[in-house]
Amino acid sequence: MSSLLEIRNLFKSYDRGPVLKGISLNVESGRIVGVVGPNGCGKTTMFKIIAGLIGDYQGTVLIDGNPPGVKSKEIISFLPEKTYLDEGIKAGTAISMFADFYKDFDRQKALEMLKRFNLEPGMKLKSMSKGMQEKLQLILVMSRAAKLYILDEPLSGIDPAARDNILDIILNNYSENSTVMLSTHLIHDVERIFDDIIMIGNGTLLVAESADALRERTGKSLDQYFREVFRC
Amino acid sequence: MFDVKYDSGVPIYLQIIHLIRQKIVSGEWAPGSRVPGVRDLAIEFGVNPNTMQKALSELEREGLLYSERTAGRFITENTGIIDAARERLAGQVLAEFIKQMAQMGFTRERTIKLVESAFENHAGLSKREENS
Amino acid sequence: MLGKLLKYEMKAGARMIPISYLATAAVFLVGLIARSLKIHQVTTATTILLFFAGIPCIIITLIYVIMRFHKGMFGNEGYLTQTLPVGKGQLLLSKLISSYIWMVASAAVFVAAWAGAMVVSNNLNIMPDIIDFVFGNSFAPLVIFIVVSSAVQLFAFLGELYFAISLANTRQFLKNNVVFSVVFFFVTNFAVSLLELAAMLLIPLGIKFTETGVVWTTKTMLGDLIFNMEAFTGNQPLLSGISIGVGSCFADLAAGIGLLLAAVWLLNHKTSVK
Repeated sequence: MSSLLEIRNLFKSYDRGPVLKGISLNVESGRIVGVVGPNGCGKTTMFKIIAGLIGDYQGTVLIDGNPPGVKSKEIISFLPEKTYLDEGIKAGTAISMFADFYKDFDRQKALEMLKRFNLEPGMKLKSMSKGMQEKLQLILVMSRAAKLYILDEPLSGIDPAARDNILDIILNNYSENSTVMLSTHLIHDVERIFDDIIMIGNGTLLVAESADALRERTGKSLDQYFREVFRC
Repeated sequence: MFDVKYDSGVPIYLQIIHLIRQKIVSGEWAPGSRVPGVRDLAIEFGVNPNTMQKALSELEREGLLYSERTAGRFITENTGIIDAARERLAGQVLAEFIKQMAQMGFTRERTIKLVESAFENHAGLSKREENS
Repeated sequence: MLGKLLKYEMKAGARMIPISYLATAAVFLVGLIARSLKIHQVTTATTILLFFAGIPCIIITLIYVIMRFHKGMFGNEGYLTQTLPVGKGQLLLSKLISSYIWMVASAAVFVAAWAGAMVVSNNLNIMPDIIDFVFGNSFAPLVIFIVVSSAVQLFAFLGELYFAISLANTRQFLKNNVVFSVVFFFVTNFAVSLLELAAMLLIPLGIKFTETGVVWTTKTMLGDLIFNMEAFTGNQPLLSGISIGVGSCFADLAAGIGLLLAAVWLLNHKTSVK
């Protein structure tokens, strides 16, 4: 059985220098994977390559056997750190747009989540706080029945009370047929939900194993181990 | 929901096993009663369903839980197994207690005396609570 | 999918461009009222305004065209656009078609504003003459050339634009993509102009001005120029015998297609979203 995500020898350089230096890893279906590493280590670049936003790279990236392209985009739901919606757009319109373009989008679910987060379909993006905007984008991403969810720092800009709400949504969404890859700085708060942990440092893969195995091996929590590894 | 605290370098599934054993042994999870589904339990404990599954499987192997194919997962009614688990848990608590008392420099006799007076104080407290 | 994309592109245009049309229409209305009330300063003012009214329309449309491609593909919105389960070719095509439609609409408004200026300034009586000129047989080739040439030049223009912006968002230029977009556009535009010139001069198909009107010719413009210069005596009526090569249309068409294909290739293999 082949992996959901297969990366072999991924290299990517920008003008300023190399950002990914030969990453190889496999991610299976039905897992919640934490991707951690200091700023600028290449996590976002790797996500963008998988999601199909960067076409200029060396190495092999296969999602369910396909390289990044139309087929892979149908099964990947990507939540970037940035706000990608037009600021004049209404929440309800954004939902309709997603329903229009994605076969696997569950409009009902999206509207229910809007209510749970105290958002109105008629609200325009520009009248929402940063936290509310992020929640809306998260709702759009999680209302799809994708095979691979990639969430780039979904918890930054979210107040601690709402964080549990979001982790709740992620856990609720769990299915054996899908995998969530999420990156975060708040390892301490979030590590409990990780099946597997991927640690990237300076463009290279440092760790790729099950979270509990790492804990057993090092006798440390993921957060403690991370701080040790990346102590400057 | 996420108020179960996980910390340290102990694998989370082991911490969950410990927590559930305590619930069974204390009777909070009554013998014979049904265990919620993996996903609901995972959300309640704030952990990954795979991790929860691993913990539950381990508890099944110990005999504290059992699965019935269509009906779901249940806590065992075998009081023998629960008692044994309770004894083991008590043993762990006692071992830790004895170690800590020894570290503080108490002898075995002194420790036993302290335990007895502690119980009396505790009983006095309970009586006062009953009377008021 | 293309239909859906097109719908959103057109809607985006509808949010900003029609306002300029309405403004133009408002000026026309004011002019009409002034004409019936015989307020001459206002009719004169609105006539002049109407001659220029089409320009803001075209500028706003141009802004729309550029923004939809630059911001839509490579700005923050690019994170949405480029993760849609749609081929890059379809994305580009939807923006191309929508941009083309809106540009043509604005050009039509520009022309309509001129017609409006005629109406307001009571010069309608020259309309029959204009219509005769445009549709009369003696000038048909000229008109056809102008229409086709404009249509194809717009196509090439969009190709130059999309190619330049795409190239500017490849690795080497990504950091200063705005500056490079501008540079690449002008370079590409210049290159296509050269191509147009060459095609115009060398392709043996053109329109020739004669004493009786405009006819088709199958001589090269270059050849004709040389021939005319040798025969020039000074007694000939102005413009007579001069031909304009229509080959530039083919150059524009080919350039447009080539540039768009190149843009799609770049989008698939070389560009990144910041």
